[in-house]
Amino acid sequence: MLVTRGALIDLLARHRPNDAAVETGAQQTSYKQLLDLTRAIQEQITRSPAGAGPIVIADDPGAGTCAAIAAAQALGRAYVPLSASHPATRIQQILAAVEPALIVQSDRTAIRMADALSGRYPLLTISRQLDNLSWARSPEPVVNSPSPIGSDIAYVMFTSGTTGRPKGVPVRAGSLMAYLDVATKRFGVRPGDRASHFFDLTFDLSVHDIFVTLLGGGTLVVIPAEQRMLPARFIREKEISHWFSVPSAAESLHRVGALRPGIFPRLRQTLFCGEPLRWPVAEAWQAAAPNSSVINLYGPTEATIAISYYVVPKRRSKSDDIYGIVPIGQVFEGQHGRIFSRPEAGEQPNRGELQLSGSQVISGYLGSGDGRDAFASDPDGVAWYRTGDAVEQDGDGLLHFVGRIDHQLKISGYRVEPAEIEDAIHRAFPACRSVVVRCDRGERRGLVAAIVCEEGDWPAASAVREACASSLPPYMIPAHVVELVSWPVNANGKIDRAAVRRQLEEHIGPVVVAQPGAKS
Amino acid sequence: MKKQSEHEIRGAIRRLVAERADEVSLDDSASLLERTNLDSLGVVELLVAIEEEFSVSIDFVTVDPESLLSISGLTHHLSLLMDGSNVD
Repeated sequence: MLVTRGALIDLLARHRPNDAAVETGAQQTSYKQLLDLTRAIQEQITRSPAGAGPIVIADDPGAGTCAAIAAAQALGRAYVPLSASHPATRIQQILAAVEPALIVQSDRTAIRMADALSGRYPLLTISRQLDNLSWARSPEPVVNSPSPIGSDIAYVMFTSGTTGRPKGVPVRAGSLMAYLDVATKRFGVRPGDRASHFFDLTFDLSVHDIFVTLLGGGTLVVIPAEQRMLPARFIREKEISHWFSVPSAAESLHRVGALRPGIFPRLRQTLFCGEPLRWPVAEAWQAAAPNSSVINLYGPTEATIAISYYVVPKRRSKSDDIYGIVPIGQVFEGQHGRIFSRPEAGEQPNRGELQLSGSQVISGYLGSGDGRDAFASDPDGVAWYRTGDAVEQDGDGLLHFVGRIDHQLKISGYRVEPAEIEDAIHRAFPACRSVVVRCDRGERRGLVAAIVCEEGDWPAASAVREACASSLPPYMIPAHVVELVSWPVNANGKIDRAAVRRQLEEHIGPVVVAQPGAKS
Repeated sequence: MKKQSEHEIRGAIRRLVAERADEVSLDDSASLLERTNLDSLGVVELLVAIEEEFSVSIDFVTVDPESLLSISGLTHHLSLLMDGSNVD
């Protein structure tokens, strides 16, 4: 059953008014309070002369943001989330790209974000106790530049782009409704359930947290940022019944030996999405949460939250295990996936780039978009999104993620285009060229920038990191910066990124790596 | 297992942090996640190294992870842990 955006709010009104809708620390917000706040925000916006563009939400996850998002949907407006942890220059780039009608902030984040939100857009502040709304900057009856975002868009997420700027992904209301139709049926929550709110609002998996929980009448329990790394205590203390996170959170708990059998008896459903889920981690989680289903979701932001799923069986069969990671399973009913391979070039037909089509898939990026030609069009006019993910289909029809066909990386589920970081480093240090890779072995783990400088002094690692921090979100700042004497190159004379990564992973100590036959 | 003073524990933790983080002057109360180049993966590896260094096991199921995010928090936690696990 598809509902319209405007009807979402009526669905909220059907829940028991005194049930807790959102819980942040000790603060509980009931469905009645959430609805009252939503309607108050709606009324402020309707009564003001603010234009018709999207509504930017600049606040940490919580009841205030849920109400602002619900109000945006009720008004038929797109919402655009910002994170207080992102640098002001990036936020300003996003504001300029979306031309919002107004920004909703809270007095929790107002001071932290004051620089980033300076400028001309009207600014509505929600008080900490959620009982007062005030304009920090009033809307003027002036004509804003028309927003490039139409009224058919539900939200816009910005991800890392290869052109050195954040890339806007506008998701249509129809796509969101199509996702929610599947998600509420397959992974829904009910009144009395307690679902985690793990994801930052700038990560599109937060849309699932908020909509699926609130439409189901459950309680959305916000996990504080400093608990996300090792969330075992949070899950137990808050009596979470529905958990949704990136696999990294489970991976960390597994690494420190915390996934002991039976420690999460109250969990009934676990969803993972955003990065490859390793079998040993999935199995340890299942043992820790014996009463929970464990489901691996897959989906790029361009295909609306998630578009394929795999229910982890209690006992894995041999065919489920390719390369040690859990399958991404099968594409949702009503959506379409195909594998693009070139058998004439000797490629196996069951292995290649995953392309997606259907009502959940966006039709294009905001503005000029990205350098990569991300959409392929069939002769019959059907558009396919080229995910850049290489997959393999097994004999049972299940899809397995096997890697990327380009250089894109994942850090805690966030997409990272190395080119965007390399561009930021090059702008700060024009005499240097860098290659950013992700290391999974050795003493340097995570994002590592390898740098070769043609002239002058090699910049200090801290200076490189500071340069990145001034324009990139925290997850895109390299953990390590290493000087190379020269680049390893492949047979075509191009920089061999895989060789750079191998050198960084294998070399111990302060590195100045020279490679025989390399060029500088 | 030799009982260590809080001072010795703090010194050893500082050394383990310094081996991994590139910040030279880190405040003991500063968040390792926010004030160093370590990400959550890096902090997890640091915690594993600390367990090995002191031959203790931190109960990550019950501990508040926030208390493990600074040198002073780690020192306090390790001191308690080693007091409890060592009978002279």
